[in-house]
Amino acid sequence: MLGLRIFTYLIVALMLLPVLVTFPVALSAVPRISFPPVGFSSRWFLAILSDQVLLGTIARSLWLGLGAALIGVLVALPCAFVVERGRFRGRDLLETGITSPRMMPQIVLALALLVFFEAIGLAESFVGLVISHLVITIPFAFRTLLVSVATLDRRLEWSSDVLGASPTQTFLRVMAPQLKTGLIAALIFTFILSFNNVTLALFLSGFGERTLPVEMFQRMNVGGMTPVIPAISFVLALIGVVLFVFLDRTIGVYRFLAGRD
Amino acid sequence: MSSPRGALRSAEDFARGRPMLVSLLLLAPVLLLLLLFFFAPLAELANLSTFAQQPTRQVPRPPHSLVNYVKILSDPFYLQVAATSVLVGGCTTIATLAIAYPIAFYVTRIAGWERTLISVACLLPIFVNVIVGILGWYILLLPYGLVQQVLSALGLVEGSLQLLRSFPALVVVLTYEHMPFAVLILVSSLQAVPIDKINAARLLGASTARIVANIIMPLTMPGLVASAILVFSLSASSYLTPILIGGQRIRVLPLMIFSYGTELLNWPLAAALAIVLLVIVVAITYLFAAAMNRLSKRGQWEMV
Amino acid sequence: MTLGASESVLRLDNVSKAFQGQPAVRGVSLEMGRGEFLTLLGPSGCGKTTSLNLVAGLLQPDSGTVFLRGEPANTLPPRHRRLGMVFQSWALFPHQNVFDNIAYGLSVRSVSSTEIRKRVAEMLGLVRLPGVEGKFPSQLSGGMQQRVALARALITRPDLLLLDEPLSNLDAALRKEMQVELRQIHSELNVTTLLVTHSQEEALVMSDRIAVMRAGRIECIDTPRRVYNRPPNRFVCAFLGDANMLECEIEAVFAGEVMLRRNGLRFAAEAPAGARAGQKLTVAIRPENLLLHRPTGPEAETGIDAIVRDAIFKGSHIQYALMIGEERLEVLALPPVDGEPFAPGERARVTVPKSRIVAFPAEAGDAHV
Repeated sequence: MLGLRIFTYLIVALMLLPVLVTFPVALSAVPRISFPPVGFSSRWFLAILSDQVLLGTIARSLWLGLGAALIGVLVALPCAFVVERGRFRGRDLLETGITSPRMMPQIVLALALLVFFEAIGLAESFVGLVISHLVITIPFAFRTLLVSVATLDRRLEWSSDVLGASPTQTFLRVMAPQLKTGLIAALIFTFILSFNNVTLALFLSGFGERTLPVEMFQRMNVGGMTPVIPAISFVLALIGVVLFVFLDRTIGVYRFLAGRD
Repeated sequence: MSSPRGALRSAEDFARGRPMLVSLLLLAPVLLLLLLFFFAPLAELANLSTFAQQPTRQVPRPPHSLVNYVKILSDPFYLQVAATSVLVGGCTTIATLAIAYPIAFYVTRIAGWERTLISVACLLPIFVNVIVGILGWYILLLPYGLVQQVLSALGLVEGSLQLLRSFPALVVVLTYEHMPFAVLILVSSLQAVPIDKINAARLLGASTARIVANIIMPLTMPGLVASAILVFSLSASSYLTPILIGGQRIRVLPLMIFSYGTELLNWPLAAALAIVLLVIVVAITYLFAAAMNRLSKRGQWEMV
Repeated sequence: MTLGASESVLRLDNVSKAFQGQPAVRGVSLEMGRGEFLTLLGPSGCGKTTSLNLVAGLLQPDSGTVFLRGEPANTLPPRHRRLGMVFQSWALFPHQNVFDNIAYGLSVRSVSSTEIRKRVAEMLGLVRLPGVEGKFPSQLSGGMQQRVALARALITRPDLLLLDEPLSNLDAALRKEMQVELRQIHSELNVTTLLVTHSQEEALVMSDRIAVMRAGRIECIDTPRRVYNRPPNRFVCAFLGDANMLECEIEAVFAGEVMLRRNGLRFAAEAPAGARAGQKLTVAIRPENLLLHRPTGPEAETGIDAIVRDAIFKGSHIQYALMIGEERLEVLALPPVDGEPFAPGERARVTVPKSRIVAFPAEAGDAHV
């Protein structure tokens, strides 16, 4: 076990290293990427707040994530009910069909949507971006919510029914509170999925419509990267870690991410 | 009844007797969305790949032909690109599983803050944007960056190293990126191994190695195969890492697809390349799944 | 028993239900009058819970009709049936406190909040659980949760109360207590009650009538005493309590009586319908109906010789194992007020009142006793 422990912590260090290294690089005083950093300055962290382009992409990513998460969860929930509780012949096929976008390599999907959007006039539009993200968030939300719906206690619904509540009342007063945790988890995870998505956004966002990861990518790839990028990277990493720890402690990450595997 | 409550009540009674209609209505948004924006575009893509040339305003529907596929399958350049993709995917898969399996094993045996810490580290690449990880590795792999400094301190290399744009660097970063997926699946797979089988074997005197080989491995084979399939399909179709870490040096299919799709604007060829990538991924998936069937049948014999 | 439409609260008319080809309820018919306490008693899988769900409207019958208050109700949704129901797991809403749980049936009907407050207090008094309004179900013990579930079901003043094994999740002591309380609440409110259980003790203690079910059918419906003392067949007899089962052959039939013979034992019993000489019958005698007497003494002339094999002191009674010839019989007797109980090896004389011997036709597949 000791060897295993050492191995594990070695890997842990290697997993943390790339993220951690962004911090010192972001503290560099000079506008180029260097490790060890040259000088010591917090100017790049502050530069995040004055970089209008960057701020714009952050806002766009947030709105995109919000839209993709809310709409995705909203439309996936009824599907979860139908598939979980339905007793009709095509049920398994339906479930496979709804989760099939997960199997598709994103680059293939991105190209297909690029061409398709061009034909129907949605190219490089925010709406197109939202739709493309929905294609990947819906299967994910669906699978998460399927688990939530499956764990509903039907006897509570029967009690509510016999006590005189209408189906709407039963849903709002008995089922929704039970679904609360699952819904919130689904929302958070789909938001993260959308916010972190690069490939789809890269193909489908126009020059002025970039999301944060795309902007970061372009600066890395094309040029013009200053330590502000490591700075924002580190900030993102911190937020991600805090979010993870919070979620793990409250709802248990493995349970939700593993879905019904 | 004219009250809104009354209207709702009669709507509910209407719905009560027509479950199929209600189901259809509930499914409609998702079905429509997926039909329109997933199945249809993919079908169009397949169709597009059979065009002889890029559609233009004058020639919106060029004649159909398999010229793109012929080009891909006969030109050694494209064949090499495809082979590189398979190689990249394969090496990443092996590396990822080799590392993720022991880690998942360890994770299932601990709890509390230690478990959270290891989970955070291993699941980081999906919680934090993948770009952050790539940037970090980019910095580490810079000439005279940290990795090179460590390696020369250990006496393993001399002089300047071009770590970026090398195959090993690409595999390392891809492994880093896809570790979380493998860890997640393997942890849940390992947790499902019934502890009483392991205890029984231990009581009978089996060593840990034997237990792992004869009990745990066969039982977790489905998880291994599932993660292999996932990691392969994700890494073979990855675009970001090959272009940022591999540069133009290591040509894989996604780079070609991006290039022909957005820069060189030869959509039919890009589409054909995308289809080829898809076929490769599906083929490997089937291979792995078939291998699992054969392996797990043997595992079942040993397990009873 | 047929009731006028004004009196009949529930009537099942030849109701059947199958799941995926497997019949769960076959042609069940029964009727309940106002204020009656009827128990569906049977082993698991006998269809009693399915029957209850059919009454509640949670399931629709494949054939037959459910009548509520004299009106056919097959297509009536549960919420319009004016029922109260308590499930085995009590199914309290976990995210609502006791007050909201109990008030639920009224709050979905937009009853005024003063009225709700009044009725909730009334219910909490009825189930003897004052002061827990603010607590949540997870903070309550099993017994308390059960009372809350009961209060929740009764607050709407339902025409019919349905109870699905409500006591099986309680420990033995609590169960006895609740049996008595349920009976009290029933008589206080005079609410028609249909109980489903597999415990014959519950059925005997609480019911006005018991309907014994097996494999989807009702074997008999009658008062507890009659079901216990005059079961129609071996299954019902064995389900309601212990009994010595003897396979006998009819020697002769005469004047409403049969002379039965078994392995050298000969005794008389009431003749069941259609009895003929040569038939095989199963005779059941409950252990408490076999009376033991000293071999010397006033009853020495009557009865049959027996040897006591075993005597187990069980506090309120003694359980004897007797050998009569080759037959082994169980006897339950009250400990003697004075003197000693029988000891193993002692001889005794056994009598049994003729009315306490029940005979039914030997069913195919009965194990040889």
